[in-house]
Amino acid sequence: MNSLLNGVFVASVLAVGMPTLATVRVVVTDTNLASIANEIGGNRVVVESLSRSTDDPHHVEPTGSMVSKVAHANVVARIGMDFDTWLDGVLEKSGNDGVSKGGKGYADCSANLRVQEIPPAKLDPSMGDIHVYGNPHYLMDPANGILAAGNIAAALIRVDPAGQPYYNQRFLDFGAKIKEHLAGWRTMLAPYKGSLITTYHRSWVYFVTRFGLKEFGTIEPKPGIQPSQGHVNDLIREMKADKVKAMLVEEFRSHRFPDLIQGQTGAKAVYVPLSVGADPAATDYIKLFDVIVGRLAEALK
Amino acid sequence: MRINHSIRLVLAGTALLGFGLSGRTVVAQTPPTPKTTQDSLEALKKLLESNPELAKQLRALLDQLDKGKGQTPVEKPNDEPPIPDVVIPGDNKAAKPVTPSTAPTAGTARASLTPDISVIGNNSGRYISVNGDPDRNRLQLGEVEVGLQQAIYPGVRFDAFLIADSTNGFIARFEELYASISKVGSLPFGAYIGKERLTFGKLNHIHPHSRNFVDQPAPLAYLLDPDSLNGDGASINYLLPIPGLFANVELGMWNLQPADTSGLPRFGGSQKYPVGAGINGNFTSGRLWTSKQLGTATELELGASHGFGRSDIGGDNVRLSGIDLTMRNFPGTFKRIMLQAEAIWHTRQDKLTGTGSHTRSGQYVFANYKPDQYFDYGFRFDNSSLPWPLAGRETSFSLIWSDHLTETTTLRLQYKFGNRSSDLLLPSARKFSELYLQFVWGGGSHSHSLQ
Repeated sequence: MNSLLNGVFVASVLAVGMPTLATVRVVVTDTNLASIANEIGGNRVVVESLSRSTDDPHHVEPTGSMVSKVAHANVVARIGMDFDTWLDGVLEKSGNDGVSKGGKGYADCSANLRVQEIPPAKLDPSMGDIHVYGNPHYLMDPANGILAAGNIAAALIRVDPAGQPYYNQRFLDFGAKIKEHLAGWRTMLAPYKGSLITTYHRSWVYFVTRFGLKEFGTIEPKPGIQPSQGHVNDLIREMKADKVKAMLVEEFRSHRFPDLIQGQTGAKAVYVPLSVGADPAATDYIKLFDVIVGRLAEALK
Repeated sequence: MRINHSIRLVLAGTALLGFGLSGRTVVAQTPPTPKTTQDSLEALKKLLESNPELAKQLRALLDQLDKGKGQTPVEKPNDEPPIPDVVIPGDNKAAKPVTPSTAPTAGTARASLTPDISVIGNNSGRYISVNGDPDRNRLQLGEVEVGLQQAIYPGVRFDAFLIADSTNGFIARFEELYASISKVGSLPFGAYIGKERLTFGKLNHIHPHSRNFVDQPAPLAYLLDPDSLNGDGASINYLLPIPGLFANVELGMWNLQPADTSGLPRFGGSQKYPVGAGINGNFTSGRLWTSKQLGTATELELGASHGFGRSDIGGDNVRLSGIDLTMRNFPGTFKRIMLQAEAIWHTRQDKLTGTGSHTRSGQYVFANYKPDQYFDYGFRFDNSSLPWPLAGRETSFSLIWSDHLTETTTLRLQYKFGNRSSDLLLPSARKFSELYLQFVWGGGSHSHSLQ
């Protein structure tokens, strides 16, 4: 009996004394970041997204359970640029200094971004839902996934220095994978370089710039403002005149006006997911662009 | 763009000289470094004389320039932006710089220490209401709120909300002015210090412009305050360390101002008992707020609140208790189904005439459906009696329609009908009907703590 107890005691001491692989809890504001964080963190992290794949990450209602998740997180990664401002109240309520602004585990994935559409110095609500730091839809350029990954990797290394070689390698692998796929997507859209594309919301500025397309106009008269029949009529007339061939529309938008415009102009309404998981085929950040680029290239044929 | 002929010659010659010197061995001698235009021309002449092949190349270049004359330069607006380097930001070993900073370029902006400033207007009107309603058929600026908000220390921020409303002749006053501390030193507590709408129940803390209906629900109006239960003091809050469950405890001590009883009836020949909590001076309160995610798309919140203080009438003890429930389901993008209910109990221990404890209660139930980004539809049922010894009850149903024109602008209609047997806030009537119209607008950066 004594030897059994001694054995248990020794095993317990050994178990306590052994270095264990800590699991880093990562909380992100959107499923695209969740996919990227999983790519970088691998089996050293557990990633949870506060918004669901069907959410517009700009319009998320904060909840108490989000506070609970953030309170127990080691890393919080956000889109930033005033896009996910709802996170601020959650961070404040969580009392978790480590993941709040300035904390080791805080990652603003827009850091070091080449920002597009920085608004004029004077802004007001009549311009619609304009973001003061510029257009925040930078993750719609797959190359910016590298930037977000770098910011997440930096936060992971700060909170888990022992995992640095692991995170570095996975980051390099992810960067290479993005570049490899980017070449393929570029080839798919190369025949349509310079094509005019209408979008529903200004979510695609970074995307069209990356692939040499041109944004013709938006179905929303101004960002976040409900489309009106008058604006849509004007858009139809202009799209006909300029022979616009396609519209990029997030799957979660109302199909009413895109379908109407498609019927009147012949421009194809291309419904695409904006987030990983919003479409059955968009199972990760790279497959998300496989879906978007594939559907757009098909429509532009 | 017109180019002076001799300058063109110099440019072409210089290009040729460079080409000849760097890439070709046919140049017999190195010309002296040109100092002036004349020197350049001389050097070029000698070079061309000694090498007829170069003269042919120069002629071809000049022809190309002539062909391009008058044409605008080819623009490349859709040049592909650079791909971000695969370099971890902050990695000192990185040889290459990372992509350009998000910081605006010089001259476009400058740092500012000014707090976030916002203005929110709340216009509302009450129509087809019963006779005797002083605000009947008037659309007026019910309330304007000016918010000043800023972080003042790591983990500490202040919020100041200055309001002016029509009932007070638009005399501005601070409805809230508090500092919130996310963590007190190394202790696992947060704290609020200052004047604020108390976190009693679910709705009292939430400003009217952030609510899903126009008016104050009857149980809050009659048992807490026609506007808000508001106090000056401090509270601490603690997030219970339970994984998977949000459980926040808040304890506060406040100083409450006596309610305005002018215009109210006297009881027992002398005393005027107020509508609302009727507490004057110290008020100690606590709230437990829990929240749990159910499945992937539902959030269930349960709360319990309790507080006690004294009335300025005979030193009566007053106790307030409340429970609240909020269930939110998010079935799709922008979509939300919400069910909210709250019950409040008001107990007064009558020391003045020794009649013992008297408890009055009220409840509301609110259901709301938001099918898209722009609209939501609601239904509310109110049922509340008045605090002892005031007599009366209101039972009403409301239908609410909201159009969110922008993130900060909302147009709302609320049709309310029911029975009101007290005319202390609004005239009493059986089967009354009221139509509320509200227009909420605002500008500037504005936020409220999570509730």
